[in-house]
Formats: sequence, structure tokens, C-alpha cells
Amino acid sequence: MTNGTTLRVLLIEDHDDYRNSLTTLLNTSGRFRCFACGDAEEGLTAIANEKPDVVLMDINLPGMSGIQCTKAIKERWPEVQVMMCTVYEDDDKIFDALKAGATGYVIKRAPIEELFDAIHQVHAGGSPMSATIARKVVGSFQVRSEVNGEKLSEREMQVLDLLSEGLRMKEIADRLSLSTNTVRTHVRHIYEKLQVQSRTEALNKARWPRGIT
Amino acid sequence: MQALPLGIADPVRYFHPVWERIAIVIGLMGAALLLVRSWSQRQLRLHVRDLEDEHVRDAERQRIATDVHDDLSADVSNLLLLSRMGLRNSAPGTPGHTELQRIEELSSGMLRKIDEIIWSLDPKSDRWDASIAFIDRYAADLAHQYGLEFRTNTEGVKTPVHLSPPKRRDLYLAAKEVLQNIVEHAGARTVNLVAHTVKGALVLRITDDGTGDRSTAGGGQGLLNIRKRMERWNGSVRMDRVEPLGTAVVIALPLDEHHPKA
Repeated sequence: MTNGTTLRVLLIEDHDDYRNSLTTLLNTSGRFRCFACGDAEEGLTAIANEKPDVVLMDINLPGMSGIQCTKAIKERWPEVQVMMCTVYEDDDKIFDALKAGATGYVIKRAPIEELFDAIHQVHAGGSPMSATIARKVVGSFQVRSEVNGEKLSEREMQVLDLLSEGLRMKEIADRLSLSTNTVRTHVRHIYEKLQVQSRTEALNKARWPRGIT
Repeated sequence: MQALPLGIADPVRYFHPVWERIAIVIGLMGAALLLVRSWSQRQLRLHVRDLEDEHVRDAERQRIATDVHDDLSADVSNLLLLSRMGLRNSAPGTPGHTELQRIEELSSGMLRKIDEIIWSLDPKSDRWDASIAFIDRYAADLAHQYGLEFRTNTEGVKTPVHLSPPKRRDLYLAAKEVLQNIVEHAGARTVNLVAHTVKGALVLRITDDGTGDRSTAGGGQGLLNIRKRMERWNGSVRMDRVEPLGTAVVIALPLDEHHPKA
């Protein structure tokens, strides 16, 4: 549960030094209360005990992967937001994490204020999306929307197209006469549809292993 | 038959009637065919071994890339974070502040360099979107850093982009030089990057809407270096004026021929 605007954050990060540094940073910022653990298994136990608002998870974890852990978290605690943390901008891994249920991602070298804002935004219902991720999402909906019935609204398609072209949130907001928060909310909805699409696809694969004819 | 002199001039005609002559010719042809077959089988074996070696090399490259990523990047990310935490707690002008700023800049620079090395080593970057995406992302970051808007369109990249690591690296460095030139000299508001494939070549078109004279920027050295990099691979570069305002630099690079991986 939150206390005013202090968000409860659970950090799952296996690099010891980085985990300690980031925990100290978050705890001394006055904006967060941060708990930390070193792997996914510990993380799942910690969520049950600490009830965080946001989970900040390294995409590369020993043992259970960040992506599997994300799936597990969203199944058991759907209201918890999961934000992936990655050193290297590996679009494939980030995209897989988003399909698995993550609603945001940060690159570790992002400035501190950006990191703080990202955590707040992901809790407030908004999500980021880079041009390359946008293109992957477009591709995903083009190929699969007929089979799995998940379609994007016209507004969502507009936002997605502008993101693919390289516009940033603020530019899109100006272009479409919306607030930046609204644009971020649209992105959140796009991710949620992507996740449904991904889950449906997994179910279909299980039901009809040789495909639907 | 007439009696033979000792130095027999034409033994074939002497010793063998026509059908036996044909048999000899066929035998020779057969021997030649066997030789050719054994030679081409050897070539095939060598080719297969090359492919296996390449597969091993690819796997090794990937392992190095992963190790570098995991160990080095993680530590440097930590350095970066620590320097920033230090900067938050120290005011400009106080002892150590300048040094912390330098550490921050250097750590940030190191992370980018590690990214570049991993990208050029990582076999996954042979896929088209990984190669172009990396350049695309660099362009976006740089443009935003200097307060420019960035537009990109890579829908025209229809075929897989196979570029060997040194080629890929030269393309990235060429694009990097063009972009540096734009943000420093062009006086532009927008940078545009369009990529498409045509007839086995990748074409990268970087446009800006600035008024600055770029042909003599850096003493004209910029474009010369880029041209050298591209000509190494039979590629080309040219710079055109864009109406009503701005410049377009067009880089063309032949793609590698696709070879099936083991």
C-alpha cells in the first residue's frame, strides 16, 4: 500500500553492487521505499510479504529468467506493475518481456530523474515505447490480429504509427492535441492488448499444436 | 601385318584395332571423371568444414558478446550510477565535483562503446532490423541530445540485411560521421533517416533541414572519410541539396550474398 506519494518498489537485481547502489538511491530520494533481492525466486516470496506497487526487474537473472518471473507475477498479482531494467537495449528481450506482462522498461544508463519519473509513470498507468519497439508492435498486430481478434483502436494505431516514425511522447501529444499522460495511457492499452494477444496465441498453440486451418 | 621396325612410331595404330582404341578413350574419360569427382568431393568437404568453422566462430562471438555484456556493462553501469549519486550530493564548485562529472561522462561513453562492440560482434545483428535499429537508435539519441527532432522510416528494408562485421561497423561509423556533422554544423531543426533495400544494396538517406554549409565542414574531411569507408566495400556516398531547404547524404552499400547457416 502506498503512503502518500511514496511508492513501494521491489528491486530484483543479481549484480550485488548495482543492487545496493540503486536501493540506497531510491531510499534516500524521499519518493520511494525500496526492498531488494538477488533473484526471481526470492522476488516472488518478497512480493507476497512486502506488497510493492512496482517491481523493478533486471531482464537477465540467474535461475528463473526476468521474463518468466514477469509472467508469474502478473498471474498472481495482476495489479502490480512490472518494469524491466536492462543494460543493453535488446529489443527482442524487451519485446518478449512486454508480451509477458511488463508495462514499462528503463535502460540502466538513463539519468536518475528519468528513472524516478518512469517508476511513477508506470504506477500511474502510463508506459514508454521507443520507435524500434513500436515497429515490432505494429508488425505483431499486422500478422496476428485476424487470428486472435485483438485489434487496436484508431487512436492507438495513430499513436503507434507516430512512435514508429520516431516522434517522442511530447511531440505526439502536440500533434494529436492530447496530454502526454493520455498518450502514455494509450501506450499502456496497446501493451495490454499485446499481452492478451500473446496469451491467446499461447493458448491456441496448446489447443491446436498444428495450427488452425 | 608387316614386320615392325624397333622404334615403333605409332603403337596405338599398330597394336590396337578401332574398338580397342575406343575402349582406351572411354577408359581415359572414366579416369578423368573419377579425378574430377574426387576433386569436387574434396571441395565439398572443405566447404562443409568452412561452414562448421563459421558456426563455431559465430557461437564463440556470441559467447564473447554475452560475457562482455554481463560483466563489463554491469560494472560500468554501476560506476555511472555511483558517479551520479555523488553528483546529487555535491554542489558545483565544491571539491571533487568536476572529477565526478568527468567520471560520469567517461562511464557513459564506455557504455556506448561496449554497446558498439557487442553490436558488431553479435551474430544476431546480421538480421536487418538489428543492424538498422542500432544506427537508428544512435541517430535518435544524438538528435535529441542536441535538441533536434528525429524522423525515421525503415519500411523500405524488404530483404534481410546481411553485412559482415567489418562492413557493418564501417556503415555505422559512416552514419555516425554524417550525424555528428549535422548536429554540429547544419543548424537544423529536424533530422530524417530513411533506409531501404534495392537490387542487393542497402541505401541509407540522412536528411536535415539546416542552412549551414556542410560541404566544407571539417575542411571537407568528413565526406572524404565516409567515401573511403564505403568505397572499401564497393559502396558510394553523395550529398545533394534538398528543396526547399537542407541537405541529404545518401549512402549505398552492397549487401553480402546470403549464405545458409549450418
